[in-house]
Amino acid sequence: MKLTRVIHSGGQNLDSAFTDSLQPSVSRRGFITAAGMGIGLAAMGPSLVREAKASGVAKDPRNLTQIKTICGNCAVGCGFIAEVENDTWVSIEPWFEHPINQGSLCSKGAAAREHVISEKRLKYPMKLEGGKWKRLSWDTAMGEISSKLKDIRKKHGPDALMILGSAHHNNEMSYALRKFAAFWGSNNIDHQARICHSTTVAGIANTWGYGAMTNSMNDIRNSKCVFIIGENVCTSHPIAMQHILTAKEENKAQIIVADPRFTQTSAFANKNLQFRSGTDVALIYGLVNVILKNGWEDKSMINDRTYGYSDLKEELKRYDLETVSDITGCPVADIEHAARLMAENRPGTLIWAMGGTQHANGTSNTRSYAALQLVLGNMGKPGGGCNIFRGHDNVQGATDLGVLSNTLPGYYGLGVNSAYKHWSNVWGVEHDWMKSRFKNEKIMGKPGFTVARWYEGVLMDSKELGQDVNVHAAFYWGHSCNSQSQMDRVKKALDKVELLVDIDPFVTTTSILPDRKDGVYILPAATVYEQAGSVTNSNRDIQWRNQVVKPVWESRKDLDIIIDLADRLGFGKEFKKNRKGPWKQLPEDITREWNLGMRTIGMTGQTVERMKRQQEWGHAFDLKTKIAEGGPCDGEQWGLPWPCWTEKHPGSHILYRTSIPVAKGGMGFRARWGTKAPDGRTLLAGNGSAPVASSINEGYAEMKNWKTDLTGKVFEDAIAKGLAPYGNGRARFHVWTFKDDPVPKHREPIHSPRPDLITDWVTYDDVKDHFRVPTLFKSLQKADWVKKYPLILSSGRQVEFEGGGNSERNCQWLVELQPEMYAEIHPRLANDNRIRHGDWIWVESPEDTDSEPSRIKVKAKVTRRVSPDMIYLPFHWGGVFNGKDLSDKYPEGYVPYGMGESANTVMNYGYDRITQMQETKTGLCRIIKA
Amino acid sequence: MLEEFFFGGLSGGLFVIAVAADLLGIKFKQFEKFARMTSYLVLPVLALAGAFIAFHLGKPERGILFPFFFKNYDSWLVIGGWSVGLAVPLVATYAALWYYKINATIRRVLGVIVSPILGFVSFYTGLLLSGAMFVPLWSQEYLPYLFLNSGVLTGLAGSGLMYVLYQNFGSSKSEESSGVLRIIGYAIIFFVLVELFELQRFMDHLSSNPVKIDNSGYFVAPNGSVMAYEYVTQGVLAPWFWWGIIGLGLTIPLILTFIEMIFNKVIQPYVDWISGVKFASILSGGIILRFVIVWGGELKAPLTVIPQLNQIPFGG
Amino acid sequence: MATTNITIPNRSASGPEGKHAPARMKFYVDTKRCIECGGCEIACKNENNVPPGIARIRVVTVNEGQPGETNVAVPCMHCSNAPCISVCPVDALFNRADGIVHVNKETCIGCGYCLYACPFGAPQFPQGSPFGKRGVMDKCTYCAGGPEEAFSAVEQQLYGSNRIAEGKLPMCASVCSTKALVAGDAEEVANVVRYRAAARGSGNIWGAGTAYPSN
Ligand SMILES: Nc1nc2c(c(=O)[nH]1)N[C@H]1C(S)=C(S)[C@@H](COP(=O)(O)OP(=O)(O)OC[C@H]3O[C@@H](n4cnc5c(=O)[nH]c(N)nc54)[C@H](O)[C@@H]3O)O[C@H]1N2
Ligand SMILES: Nc1nc2c(c(=O)[nH]1)N[C@H]1C(S)=C(S)[C@@H](COP(=O)(O)OP(=O)(O)OC[C@H]3O[C@@H](n4cnc5c(=O)[nH]c(N)nc54)[C@H](O)[C@@H]3O)O[C@H]1N2
Ligand code: SF4
Ligand code: SF4
Ligand code: SF4
Ligand code: SF4
Ligand code: SF4
Ligand SMILES: [Mo]
Repeated sequence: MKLTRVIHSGGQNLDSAFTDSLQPSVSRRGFITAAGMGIGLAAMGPSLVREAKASGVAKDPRNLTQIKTICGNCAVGCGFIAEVENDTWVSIEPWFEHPINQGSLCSKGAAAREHVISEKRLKYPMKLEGGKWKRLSWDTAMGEISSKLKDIRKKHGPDALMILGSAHHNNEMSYALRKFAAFWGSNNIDHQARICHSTTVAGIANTWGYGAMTNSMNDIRNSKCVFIIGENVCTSHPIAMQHILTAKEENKAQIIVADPRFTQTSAFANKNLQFRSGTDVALIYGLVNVILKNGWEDKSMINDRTYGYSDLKEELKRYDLETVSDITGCPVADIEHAARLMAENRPGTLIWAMGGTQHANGTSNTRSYAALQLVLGNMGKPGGGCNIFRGHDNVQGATDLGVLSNTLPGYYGLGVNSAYKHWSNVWGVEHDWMKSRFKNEKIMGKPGFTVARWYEGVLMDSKELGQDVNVHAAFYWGHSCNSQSQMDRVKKALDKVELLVDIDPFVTTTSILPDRKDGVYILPAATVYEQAGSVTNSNRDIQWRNQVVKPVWESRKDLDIIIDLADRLGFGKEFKKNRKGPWKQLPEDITREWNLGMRTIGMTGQTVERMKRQQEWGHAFDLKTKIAEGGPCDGEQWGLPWPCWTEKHPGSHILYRTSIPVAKGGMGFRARWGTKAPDGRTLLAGNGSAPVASSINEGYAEMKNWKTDLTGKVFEDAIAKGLAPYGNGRARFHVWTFKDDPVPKHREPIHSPRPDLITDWVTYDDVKDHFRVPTLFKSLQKADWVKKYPLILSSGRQVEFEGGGNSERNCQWLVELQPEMYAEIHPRLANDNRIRHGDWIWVESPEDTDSEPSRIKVKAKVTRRVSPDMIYLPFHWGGVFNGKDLSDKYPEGYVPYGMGESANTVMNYGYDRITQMQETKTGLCRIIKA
Repeated sequence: MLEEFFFGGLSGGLFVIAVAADLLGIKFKQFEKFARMTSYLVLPVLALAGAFIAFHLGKPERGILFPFFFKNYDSWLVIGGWSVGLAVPLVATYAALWYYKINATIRRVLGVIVSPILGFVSFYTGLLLSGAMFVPLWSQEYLPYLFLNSGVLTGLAGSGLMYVLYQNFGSSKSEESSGVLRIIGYAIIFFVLVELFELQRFMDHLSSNPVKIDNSGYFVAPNGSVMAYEYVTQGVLAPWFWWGIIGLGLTIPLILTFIEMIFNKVIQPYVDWISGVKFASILSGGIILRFVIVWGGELKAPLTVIPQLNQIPFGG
Repeated sequence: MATTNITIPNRSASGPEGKHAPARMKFYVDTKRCIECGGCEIACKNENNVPPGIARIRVVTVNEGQPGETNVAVPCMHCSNAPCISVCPVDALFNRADGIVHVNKETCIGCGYCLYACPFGAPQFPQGSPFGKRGVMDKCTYCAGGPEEAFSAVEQQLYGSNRIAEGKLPMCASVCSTKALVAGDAEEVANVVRYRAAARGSGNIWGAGTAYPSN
């Protein structure tokens, strides 16, 4: 028989969608007439030759249900279609029409199913009793936990509990968790954003109003220049590369990568700037100086839409190119060349992530990036902006919903009579009742412990703390302990804390690390694929994630667990309702609840119904503008990116864009700090710089009550007049509330490899009460660290694993690709130390506040990715501590497929001055052949 | 894999030597016993090779029934399989003719006819590897000859060793051993020199960076073979190559043979022992040769073939 | 949806029978795009339930950490003139009419000869090295199952899924992060290559200069 190629005359089948996804810029119609890839092929066997049917397509006989859902790993927010048979997840189909990923998935996304079917899934609740793991029923476990909590609360008050929440929780769960902490009566709640992009949020929210990625992955397709600093897109946000490579190929965009290493992403760059870790501000200022010297700056942007330019220029004087080159180790010619590329190729976008944020001066880093984009005039434009790639699938959402110790949902802060009042109003509880839940009003308004240093709340004397009790109970709720630096100190706290509860789909490092015999509970949580809800990706797209299968084994949805806990703690009734009445439909009613309260950032127009409708209409959205053309979503932007002020608003794909009216997603910079700065200069935008179709074509203050008016009237009125509810202000180069660095400065890392630079570029003064713990800067910045520890120590990611890796190391497929922990080491350094590829080495780091240095034993991976003066560690590993395998501490049968020494055991002391971000990118170490 | 190559090659060599000795035996009586014993050795060695092949198959049962399965006559494995299969009954008959001392002429005629088949078994172990076109070390031009030669050399050593052992520990000691050993010594010198020459040409060929274009149009980029050359002579395999193949397998036997000849008188009482050491040395060198060649095959030139070059038709 | 105005003309030159010519299924690996993300590798495992230790597709990196670093995903390339077919003693390997190279696991004897013959290291054997280990050869099926009845339990168990029979394309290429791995009918794949060559300006595709001298 002859195999024939069958042409589908009409309709789309998956494979013509595949073809389109390959070449989105090729007109779809043109491609179908070109006989597309709708090729039906008959299967051929030796005895069985089947005739190709009229349609040419045989049908899989299984009875599969297709469910669209969203990847639960990183913040790109890729969609895929899960195929389910009898509540068993059997396969994955690409969702070609998804506007962000067009069917693509990286290794983690492709392994989504294994997160559910892995044999290593935690099957039932357990507790550690007399050094043995014992199976419990949910009822017993929850009963014991809640009664212990009540005891602790009675003895020590509500602040004796620390909750570590999760960026993997969907918006509804994140919101519920923050609400739970408030109802419990403490601000001791935090999540991964603290050790991820907290410095971004603080830095750029203080620059122009919102602390989020301003443009989108798709919008990179419009860029002419892509400047990537401290972000390894190929490993961390693989699917974003699709858009970046399209820009490179179709726009001839210049790709510039600035990174201390030659990363997987560097391989795709037109220009690489390899520089010393921890010197970002100096590098950026070098670039800015080249731009100013040549007059390449965007003068109208600077004059009309920024504040504090003269202060910036003052600071820039310290950064002549020779100085910059000395600090950064980057040749002057390279800096000049890169600056020229950026100036000549506009609009350009700037992408950053952990390379910039995880430093003691991380907030300054992020502000300097923002300054560069302002000077270039790249803000508020398609193809421009700060494309800050966030971390987890819902870290943007969890941040927005305030799973943080310094704010309630929506960045309202902790004001007892403002923030708490607003939310009490939404929750439908008395403001006074809310106050009664806390120890006192002072502590109610005071930021709690952070993820980065909560353990000091256990370890330090309570007199040294910013609260008068120690922490006695800790909840790790979708969070790893091996993601916190100084992990040997974390371990001491885990050893000591009275009650430790770990709620996770897998047995994590947290549960097995501590040396103790009792008091640890592990509760099986459902994965993200076993619970429904909305998730916000990096570029503020809010997508509905469908539940694929019911929670497997005895695992439970996070929401069910938290409601159970609230009930048992006695505030369930108040918790499970809002001003409109009790929750009936979950999680949808919670979505409606946050729709009501999240005024500040316009998470108000993303109704459940709109999100679900978009899910069906992915194909109607344009890849470059993200706008739907025709159909029920006509004019809407994919994901209804916030601010999406009302149920009619299309969402705001590009922040601060004035070339479109507010009704279509336009806006100026936020007028967040009043109309006049303390120095008397105006904070309102200049003439003619309002979004088009505005009734006021200049700067204006924010609307009255816009943050607390729950009726939505203020928004509607403002939009009708073409005004942004939050006003039209100026972006700030100068932030007067940051007393040490009103304008960002280069400051040497606490563990600087260049002691000669410490005097001129010294770090901050120590702080006594910083998120309730004393935090050291200057007193730890010692010039002689480097004598004993001559190498820079840095850390980051591998493509197959995420975070602490406690999920992925339990997925066999992924571990097969990445079976071992290693340290990247340059051939020169390796040879000088007689180390060969694959040899065991000890990595040792300074003692800092402990009495002894910390050390880990890892294999040497000899590679040119790193420079000869540094060691680079992936941080996803766990299960081995100080060279000792901890397999025997796992419950039987739960030892992960991948075990290795945690990088964070040796990550040095060092915390951001503003947000307490941990300094996991720049430290010092030495290596010893094992 | 290296075991069957070794034993396959060895069996081929043994048989050829047995027949040669048989023919020599017409004139020189002292070879008779040597020839007879060698002919008995072939079958077990061949069987060993077969057993190793079967053992190494993922599905041994299908391999043993090879006449029903082997269909692709373009494959060296099939041709080799058939030649081994054919060799077994012939070798057995030849040995039986010896054992029952039926008719020397028939036996010798059979031996001469069957010799090429067994020689081919040695030769084919090299051909088999050369079927892998993308392993630069596995050269079609050099390997078969190298393996054939090594088969004969190890065959000499194997038969010689058995002869020496038999002479010293067997029931009846024959007085003629020194003559036999001397002739074997001459043969060894010859084959060692040939093998050294072949190896040298082979390595020259690899290091000269040849561009290998095979008939299917695949292009194997030049540096693949240089990499192989360096891998074998300077890399991980270098000690095996130099100490094993060149040292144990070729140089030491050569030196020992010269010693035997030059100090004939002095060492007369120990000649059996020295020969024994020499034969063992050759045999280990032979095994190491296979080892090096097989492991050297780990080094493929995977990306010297640019994948898309031959994948996209640009005709239409 | 389209913003750039490039269309690929209808292939009318090949005439009506061109539409019914046998398809020839091919892979194209765009080395200017592969980012070593492993998506294809895991997608294959997920789709075909490939056991541990078997990699039907692997990503290889050349010049890691240096300018010129390049990644290539290597599945079975379903070669025309496949060297594996010519060495297989038992004809367990064969070319389908659409160019897909299949292995028949019911006749394979697990000799491992194909692995040595294959330039891409595509043939896989359970528990690592061939020769010396049990089991028959497994390799990329182009997601076309095997020589059994499509969707039958035997096929599913021995070879994994059969997307081709459903009119779908291989999983690895379908999910590839950056659309570096392209699969489909040779001529369609060639269109993609042409399109990319045009977008990049001529000579920019690795190897294109050698393969397709200026036309
Ligand atoms: N040295 C060093 N340390 C670092 C970093 C670094 O670069 N270097 N990076 C930092 C950054 S940016 C981050 S974000 C953190 C990562 O922080 P981690 O907390 O390590 O993040 P993950 O491991 O992704 O997720 C935590 C846990 O959530 C579980 N989980 C997944 N889905 C669900 C769910 O639906 N419900 C529940 N209850 N649990 C779930 C997973 O199994 C996992 O154990 O690490 C930080 N630590
Ligand atoms: N595969 C995978 N993907 C992930 C995650 C994961 O765990 N695994 N996690 C997700 C999360 S939570 C996050 S936050 C993102 C993070 O994504 P990335 O920011 O890409 O993560 P990292 O690899 O930690 O760091 C990026 C780069 O910073 C460089 N760097 C080190 N020091 C400096 C410095 O001083 N300055 C600059 N400019 N660069 C420096 C490192 O060399 C590294 O290449 O990834 C997300 N995606
Ligand atoms: S991990 Fe990120 S890039 Fe990979 S599939 Fe999931 S969302 Fe997409
Ligand atoms: S197994 Fe190797 S030789 Fe055979 S078709 Fe696949 S890639 Fe080509
Ligand atoms: S392993 Fe199987 S498929 Fe490969 S050559 Fe041997 S018999 Fe043929
Ligand atoms: S075509 Fe199918 S079987 Fe082959 S590598 Fe790709 S996913 Fe695996
Ligand atoms: S999925 Fe695509 S980009 Fe990722 S490794 Fe495979 S071929 Fe390369
Ligand atoms: Mo993160």
